[in-house]
Parts: sequence; C-alpha cells; structure tokens
Amino acid sequence: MTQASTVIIGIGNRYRGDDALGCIVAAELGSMSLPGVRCIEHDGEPAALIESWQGVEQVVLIDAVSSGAAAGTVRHFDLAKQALPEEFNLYSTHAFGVPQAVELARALDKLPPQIAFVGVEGECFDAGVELSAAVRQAKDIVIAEILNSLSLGMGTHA
Amino acid sequence: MSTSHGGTRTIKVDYLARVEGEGALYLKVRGNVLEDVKLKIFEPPRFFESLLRGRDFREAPDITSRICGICPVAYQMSAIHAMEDACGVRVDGALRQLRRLLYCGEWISSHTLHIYMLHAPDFLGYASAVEMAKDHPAIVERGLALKKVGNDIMNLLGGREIHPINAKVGGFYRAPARSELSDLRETLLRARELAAETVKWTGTLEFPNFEQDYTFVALRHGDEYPMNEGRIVSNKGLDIAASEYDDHFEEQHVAYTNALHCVMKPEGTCYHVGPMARYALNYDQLPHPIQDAALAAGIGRVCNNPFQSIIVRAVEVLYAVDEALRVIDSYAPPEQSSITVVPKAATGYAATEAPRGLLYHRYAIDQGGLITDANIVPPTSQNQKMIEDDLRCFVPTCMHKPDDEIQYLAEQAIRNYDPCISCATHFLKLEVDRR
Repeated sequence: MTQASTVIIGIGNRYRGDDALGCIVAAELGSMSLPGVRCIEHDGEPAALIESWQGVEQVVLIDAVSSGAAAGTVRHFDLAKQALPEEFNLYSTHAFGVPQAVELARALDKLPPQIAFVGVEGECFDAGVELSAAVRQAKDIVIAEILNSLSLGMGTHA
Repeated sequence: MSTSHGGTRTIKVDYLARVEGEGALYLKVRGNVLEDVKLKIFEPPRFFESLLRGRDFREAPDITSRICGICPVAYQMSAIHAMEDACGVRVDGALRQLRRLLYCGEWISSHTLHIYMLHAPDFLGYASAVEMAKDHPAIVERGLALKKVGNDIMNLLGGREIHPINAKVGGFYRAPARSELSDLRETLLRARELAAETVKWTGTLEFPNFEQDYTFVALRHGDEYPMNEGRIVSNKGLDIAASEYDDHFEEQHVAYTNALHCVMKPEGTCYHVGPMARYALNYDQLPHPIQDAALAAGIGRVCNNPFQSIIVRAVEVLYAVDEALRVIDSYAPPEQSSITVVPKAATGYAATEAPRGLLYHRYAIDQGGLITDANIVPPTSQNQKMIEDDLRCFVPTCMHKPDDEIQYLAEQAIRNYDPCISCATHFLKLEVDRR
C-alpha cells in the first residue's frame, strides 16, 4: 500500500451522541477515496495515535470537544505551533488522552511537520447514535473546510 | 494544599493526578502525629449492577466491559466465566488459550501505561510523562513501543484495543487463523527484549524503605500464573472457590467515599490485591528465566514494599509477553469459535485477575437467561482500605519533611496501586435532570 502523505484522524465514540463527530467526518472523507489521503476513525489511545502519524507529512485531527462554547462552534489549532488549550483537555482514561499524546509526541520529536486540530463543540454526549442539529451542521462545514484546504495543498487553517 | 491551625496540620490533595477518575486525599496531622487519613472517591456511583438486571446473560460481558477503558478484558472475562459457571459450561482447549492471549494483551497494555506514563515520573522527579520524555526520550519510547504490543494483541483478538468486541459467553465470535498470529509473533519476540530491559530498568529506581505485613489475596491455579481461573488464596491461610467469595469478603459503605470498601470477614480487615499479591502467591509458576530477572532486579520471592510494585508490574509484563508467545506457538485453531451455551436458572460466580487485581463477578439468571441479580467487586474497591492503611503507616515515616514533600510521597504511595477510580465507583459523570 502506498504511504499516504495526509492522514485525517477522526477521534471519538460512535455510540455517544456528538462524540461520534470525528468518526463520521473521517468516514465521509474516506468514502471519497481522495488521492494520497488516508482517513481513520480512532478511539484516541495515545500509543496508537502517535504510531498512526509516523512518516506522514500532514495530519488533521478532528474531535468533538466540551469547552463551554456554543454547540456547533468550530475551533482550529495548529498543533505544530501550540499545545491544545486547557479547556480542550478531553475526556480520557487515566488522564492520558489526545492532548497528552500530542505533547508526548512533541517531546519525542514525533509530531508530523503539519498537524492541525479541528474541535467541534458538542451539545450532547449521552449514549446514542444521533448527532445534535448544531453538530450535524458543523460536520458539513468541517468537511467542506478540509476538502478546500486539501485542494489548496495545505492543512486546515489555524 | 496544606493548612496549619492550632498545632494541627491538614494536607489536602483536592484532585489526585495520574490516576483514573476523580479522587482526593485528606491527611490530618496533630503535632507530629497523623490523626486521620481519608482517600475520598467522589465520582458518583454508576449502578451497573442495577443496569444489568433484566438483560440477557450474553450481554453482560459487553455491558460490564464499559466500566473501564483500561481493563475491559478483565470485565469481559469475569462476566463470561461467571455466566458459564451458572450454565454449567466449561470452555477449554484453543478457546481457553485464546482467552489467555487476550488477557496477556491487556496486562501488557495496562501495566506498561502505568509503569512508564503514570508511575515512573514519581521516581524520576517529574510532574508528568511529557516532562520526563524531554529528558529521557529513549525510556519513554520503549514504553510506547511495549504498550503498542499489548494494543496489537487486543486489536487482533478483540477487534479493537479499547472495549474489544470479540469475546463472548462460550468463546469468541471469530477465532483467528494460525497465519494471522505470525506477524504478532515477530512483534512479541522484539517486545520480549523491551520487557526484559524494563524489568532491569525498574530495578535501578530508588525506593523508599517501607514494608508492610500484607495479607495478599490472589488467584492460584497450580499449573499456571493466574489470569482466568483458580482458587482464591491468601498468604494467611485462605483457600476458597470463587463461589465462596461472599462468605469471606464484604463490601461496606463508608460515608466519605462513593466507592464501597471491601474487607475480609469477620474482623473487617484490609487486604492487598494486584501484581504484588499475584507474584507473592504464584512466584513458583513463573518460568525460571523470569524468576531470575525478578530476583536480579532486587525483589525477593515476596515483595512487601509497595513502591517496588513497579518492578513486579514489569515482571508481569515480561511474563505476559512470554506467555503470549507460548500460546501462539502452540496454537491450533478451534473447530468452532464458540460452544453453545444454554441458560438455566442458577447463580454463577467467577474471579479473574485484572491488571490491578482480583475482579469478582456474581450473577443470578433465570431459566430464560435474563439476569435477576448482579454483583461486581473491582480491585480498587478491595485495595482502597489497604491504600489508606499504607498511608497511615508510611506518612509518619516522613513527618519531618515539608508538607509539599509529604503530599508528593503520599500521592506516589497511592499510585503504587494504579488505582482505577472509575472501576471502583463504576464511574459516570452523572447529570440529574429534575422537572
């Protein structure tokens, strides 16, 4: 299999309402078979996450967040330049999740050259397989943004 | 945070770091005497036992595995064995070996996370693994590589590394072909080196000089280092079947914590479950090279210093890698991936060895296979009173130190147990919507 130069990583849980956002975005982009782009759904396990972007030029992480903003708000961070802010410290097991994986990779010089984080403020993380209306709308915006930035040959803006 | 008032010092840790879930510690010191210790778990309870009532017996493994993202296999295994016990079924041969292989994956993954990411920073003087990685990148990379091997096993056998979905009452939904295990074998051969280095490295760490006369409780099988089955034994004479657990142990409500304290009957004494207990009670079941590695790392046949639990965990990782290789080398795929299990009205009992220690499940089911009663006792509930006892004995040995140093050491003493507060409370962020 040819090594993809771009990896889109959708993080989340498909059975916890808006937490499925990242998985759904990755699946929809994956169904488009974009050249040089690999799309994966991920549970956020740190060792596997760091492994998933080794040797890759560009990574886009997409995840639902709970930072107190209005539901559906889309936030962008250029992780090559900055850590995720404190309020984006996502739910994780043993206090070791996505932000820690990113910072660990930075300390070990294992971050890809380009790595962007797209966070969508969730409204409901209860058990269920439906996105809330606000997040469903944001999902389409995120997909359009990523497609646009890929066509321009750059990561999502930060 | 520490406060001082009228000769009384209070040290409070409002939020324990590098443990799973939300817990706090309260130490009250009068003069130079430690007057009170409270390990508070303020996660609300999750009521999994109630949730299970009325569900089909085959659903218990996947429902209970959601209690913990770190040790889901343990919950699956205890639930599966308890249901098979209720239905009078025994699963053997290749299916039993595959269960053992899956458990090896969880031990490797869970122990390695704790050794490298959560516990090692304590010994090397860092606030987190990220800080530690800046100065010790090779050590942290070794931990990540080793953890990934555990993930690989869980992925292959369980379908995914967190909350695997392939284990079922009676066996597996799908058993792997022999050829599917060949890549894993190569990975495990490399991992054996990493695991052996880990044992050596943990032996070089500096440990506080502190020992306790523990009552160790663990499974003992007699033919193998225990994972899925065995009798529940202690170093103080206990030797019972899982079905007798409730006669010898009881859970108690304690006002300041949401997790039940489990104690030994009749005196209500605390006891120790986990790697140190397994090791002390099953040292003779470890292969000789692994026994030698443990002794060379500085622990005896019994380790009574809880701070050295990091060495014991490393020894168990080495064993789990070795055992996974043994299972793969002797693997012949089963004719069927599972056997049929027909429910009957009965109560089933099982205890298996989760990474953090003994995990007991008891279920009553009716003739149609619906669950009528459930009880789950996770390792952290069993260790909670033991952790307090460690603190009660350990903190006075460092009373001359400044409060921030006492706090640091006390937190380290708690992390000796790799406590999983989510498991202890079956934690869930609870929202009450009243109208």
